[in-house]
Amino acid sequence: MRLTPAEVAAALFGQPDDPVHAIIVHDIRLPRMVLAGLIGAVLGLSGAALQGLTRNPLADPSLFGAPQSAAFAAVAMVGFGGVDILSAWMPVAGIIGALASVGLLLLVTGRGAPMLVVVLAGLAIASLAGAATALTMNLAPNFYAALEIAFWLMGSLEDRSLRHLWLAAPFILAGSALLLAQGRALRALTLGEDVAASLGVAVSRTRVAVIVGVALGVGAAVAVSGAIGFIGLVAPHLVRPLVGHDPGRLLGASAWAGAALLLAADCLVKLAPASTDLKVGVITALVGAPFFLSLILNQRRLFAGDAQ
Amino acid sequence: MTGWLALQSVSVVLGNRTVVADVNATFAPGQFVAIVGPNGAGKTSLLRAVAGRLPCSGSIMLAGQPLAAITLSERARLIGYLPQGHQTHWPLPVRDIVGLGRLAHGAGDPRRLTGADAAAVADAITRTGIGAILDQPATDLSGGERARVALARVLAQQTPLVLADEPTASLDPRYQLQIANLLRDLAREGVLVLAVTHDLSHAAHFADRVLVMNRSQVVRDAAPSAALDDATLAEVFGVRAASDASAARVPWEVLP
Repeated sequence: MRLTPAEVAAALFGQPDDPVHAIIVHDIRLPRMVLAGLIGAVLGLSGAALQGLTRNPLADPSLFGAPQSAAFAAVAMVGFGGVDILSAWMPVAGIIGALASVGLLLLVTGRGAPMLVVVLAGLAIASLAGAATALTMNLAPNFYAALEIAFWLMGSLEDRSLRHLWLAAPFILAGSALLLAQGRALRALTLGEDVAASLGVAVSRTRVAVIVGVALGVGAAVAVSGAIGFIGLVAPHLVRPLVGHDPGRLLGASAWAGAALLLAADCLVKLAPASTDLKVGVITALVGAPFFLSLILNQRRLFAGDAQ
Repeated sequence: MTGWLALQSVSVVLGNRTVVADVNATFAPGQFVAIVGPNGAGKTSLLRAVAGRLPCSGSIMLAGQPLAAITLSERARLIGYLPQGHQTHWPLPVRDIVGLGRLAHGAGDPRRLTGADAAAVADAITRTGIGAILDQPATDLSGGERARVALARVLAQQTPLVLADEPTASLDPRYQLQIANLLRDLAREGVLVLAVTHDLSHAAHFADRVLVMNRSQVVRDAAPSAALDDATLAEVFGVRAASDASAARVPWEVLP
């Protein structure tokens, strides 16, 4: 259904000519837009925080396995729990899955383990969650359940309602607040963990805060939308030429960039003919990867410098 | 105020190796102390223990309190720590790197420093002579520039104790002398400076006191001429002072 800007404005702020317009705008389009903005923002923010924490420009929100674990827990509800793919149980399970993965990660690594150990443990958890997701599809009760899961995993904001927004938003906002509070510490980590500590930064507390913040925010995001790739990796790179490399300043900027990217990608999806059920997660990866390649081409010197 | 920094039976064990064994020493503000010794003698580990970055047994007292009881943020205002290697992971401009020293005093964004923070950064920049490279990315510097920028960051922190691990490594002779002079001046202003160095003639010339470490122990702790006598040089380093050269003389000085 097409609405003119005037009709949308009327539905939002005034008296729409047609009450259906109000329902479309308030219950379908506005929640979807706010969700896209929130999810994009927390993906960008998480990417920036993880790149700052690991001091590695290739880190992205899936680094410690929280999104994979959220995805597994959510699809397990469909595969084994027999719930509907748009049920509110999906985000609830997803958030629990993300937090469980953090618990496991911290249990395995303890406090003060070298970053490499944490990254390796995260990799193991991510692989485990990926395998469990594949198993869920493998053992799905019927063909359609497996297909539903496969499509859900591609990442989409289609048909998400206000209920999804209310479920995910508190976790996304809490995770984002936790991540935004780490700016000073991530900035100090530019000089390595020893110097950061000598500047008064509690390095292991920062690490836990980032891991938990990413799990809360991205876990909730994935639980609602499925896996949306590349935004977390690309958003910080997109804003570095504008705001510089300071990991503290990158946090907020990457959140805005992530929100803009996902909103734009979701608009592209809606522009596609209605018969094609295009998933926004496919678009972000499809557009994101070549864009990332061109960024690398432009910034080869920077990456060469890192390798020294 | 002897004993402002006091180490008592300090030992550091890494894995199952004792890298610092039973070190006892007290230091007063305003001293420039050089820590010398062969590679692997435990110099860096001792410095890291004093910085609070390595767990150790024994006791370290700083400004009348046990080091372990001093919070991280209080420590940051007491101890400036300059490790080896001068890591910088992101290409921040030099100005911002120096500004990071002010995080110890509660500053947030190094680009928005005011008052005492801005003054401390400006002073550190002048002292280390890095005014010409302030806008360069810190990852694109020569070894000598990196060393001076790292030192400037510590100076900007304005701490009464400075721990410097090979601050003059990879510097050309002129900057080596400048940095050594700078650390000595800092000590004259009342800062306690502990510097690990491999340059025995600098240690002899600039330091008020030399700690010689060998096989994880402090084997000499005295004024330079006494600590670096012929017997110690032979036993610890396997070298001797060339015929008429006194170890206490540096053959160069910085041109104005």
